[in-house]
Amino acid sequence: MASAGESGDGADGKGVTTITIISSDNEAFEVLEAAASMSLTIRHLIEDGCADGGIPLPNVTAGILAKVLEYCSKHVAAVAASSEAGSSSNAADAAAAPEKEEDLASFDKAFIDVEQDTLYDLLMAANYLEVKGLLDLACQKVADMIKGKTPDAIRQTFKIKNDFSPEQEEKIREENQWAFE
Amino acid sequence: MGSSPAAEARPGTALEDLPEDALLSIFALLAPADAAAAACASRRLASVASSPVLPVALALRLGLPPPPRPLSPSAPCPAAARRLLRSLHRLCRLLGFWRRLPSSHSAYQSHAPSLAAFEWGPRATLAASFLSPSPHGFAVSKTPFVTLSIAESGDTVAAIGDVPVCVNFVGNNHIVVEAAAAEDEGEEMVSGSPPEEIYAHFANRRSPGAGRRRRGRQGRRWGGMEAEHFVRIADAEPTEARPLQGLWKGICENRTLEFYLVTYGDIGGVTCRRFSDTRGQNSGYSPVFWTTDTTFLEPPFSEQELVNYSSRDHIRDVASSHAGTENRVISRILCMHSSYDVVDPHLSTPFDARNVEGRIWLYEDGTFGFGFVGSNSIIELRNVSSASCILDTLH
Repeated sequence: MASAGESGDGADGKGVTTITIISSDNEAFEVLEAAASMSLTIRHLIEDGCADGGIPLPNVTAGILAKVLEYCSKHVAAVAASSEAGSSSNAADAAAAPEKEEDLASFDKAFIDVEQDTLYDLLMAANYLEVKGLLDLACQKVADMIKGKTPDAIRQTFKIKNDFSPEQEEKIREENQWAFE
Repeated sequence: MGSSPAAEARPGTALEDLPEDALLSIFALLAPADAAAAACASRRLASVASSPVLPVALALRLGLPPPPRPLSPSAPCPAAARRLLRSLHRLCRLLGFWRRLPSSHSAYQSHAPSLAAFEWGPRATLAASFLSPSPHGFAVSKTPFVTLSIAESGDTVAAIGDVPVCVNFVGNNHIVVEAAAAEDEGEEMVSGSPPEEIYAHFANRRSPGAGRRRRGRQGRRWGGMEAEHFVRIADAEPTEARPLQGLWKGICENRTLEFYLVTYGDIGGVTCRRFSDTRGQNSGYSPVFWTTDTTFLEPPFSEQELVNYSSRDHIRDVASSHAGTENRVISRILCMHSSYDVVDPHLSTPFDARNVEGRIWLYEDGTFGFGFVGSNSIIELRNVSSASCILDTLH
């Protein structure tokens, strides 16, 4: 059974289940199970009953885990709010749905606006934890940093060394010429 | 995406140090030119760009089934992977709506449809169809046109029924569909558009299909098909900032369903054009209204505006002998001043063609209606598509 803490009633009077997740540097994070389950890796561990006393993640440090869980919590809350608006007969709720989508988009944009090192950390953590939305967001951020740049500019942005010989560089350009047609 | 043993980057990690599957995911998000530029940056990135798994990653991102395997899966061929990648990107570029340009062929065909839609079909095919107004309310008929798919070789193949055709880009927003040649040695059925081919197209345009037939295929015609030219319809759906933009359908004053395209100009202003049949001076794409000021009136609306709206007939149903009246909830009103003779000569209401005034009533559900001063009707418009899916299609 998962280490589920009954945190008592939520604002709507319903019980909520929380999960404890432990980072590689032994910091414990208590989050809603729904938020933690945005990670397929964590969800499978919960389902397999491997989560007694908390779920240890030896590969993820506290700083990055905190950010990943922040992302998951925000998105789970948005999904919950969206289903409430969908089932509500209140026109104001329905009309507010596009605004909330915009809020989430703004959150994502600000969330992923980080230093390259942190970006790679988030990308790898999202990959390991199988948080698809975060992985897509991080990959898109890197892709956006590549877009519109020449090879030299890409090397500069990502501090990449040009390890081609002149002949190899010419060959690569020829092989990729189709991309510019 | 498989999980990686490492879940965090070491200090000083560079892009190239990311796991292969992460780099593939990034490359699958890049347009061909950007992926090519990244491939030219270093050997590691070049290796990812030519990975035979990259087309699979791209297909996955597009929600398509895995593409056909290269001919020798045991020895993955970068050239085959490049062909496959090129084909997938080409198909993606074709997605969306296109307007057929009038040609000597379509001019003799009454009611030749001019609106085409390219959509994903089953098994990673791209299916193009012509959209026509149906006689049933707001329903839209689809007539199959070209089908494109990816062969085992990684090349794109295209056909209209059983007739092989070529679909070539002339720039990014113009395509030409024409009968393919008989099999020539080493000739691809679909190729890019190097500059000399573009000029050959325009230079030889008077001769039906002559542009690509100069290599000894003269006199061979596949089903009598003349080259068809299409231009892209960008922005087929409205946005919050441009609520009138997009492809719309509405029942006009002669009680038939028509398609309308509303575009915002670069220097401001909104233009509405109607897709009529391809006969006539405007060749299937006639202006309906044009207005420079896109500032909406916000509620509360004046009594005069409300009376103007409520006194009009809403043209809704082709089957009705007279229009019904229904007052919908208006969210904003745009006052139109088309001080230009850019008006639809087919509209029955007589008015000064050089100075047209009217209204656009934007409704809460995002649709809108329009009508002119001096006319007693409102043409109500609905979206042709939503989230890139065509609505109300008849099969």
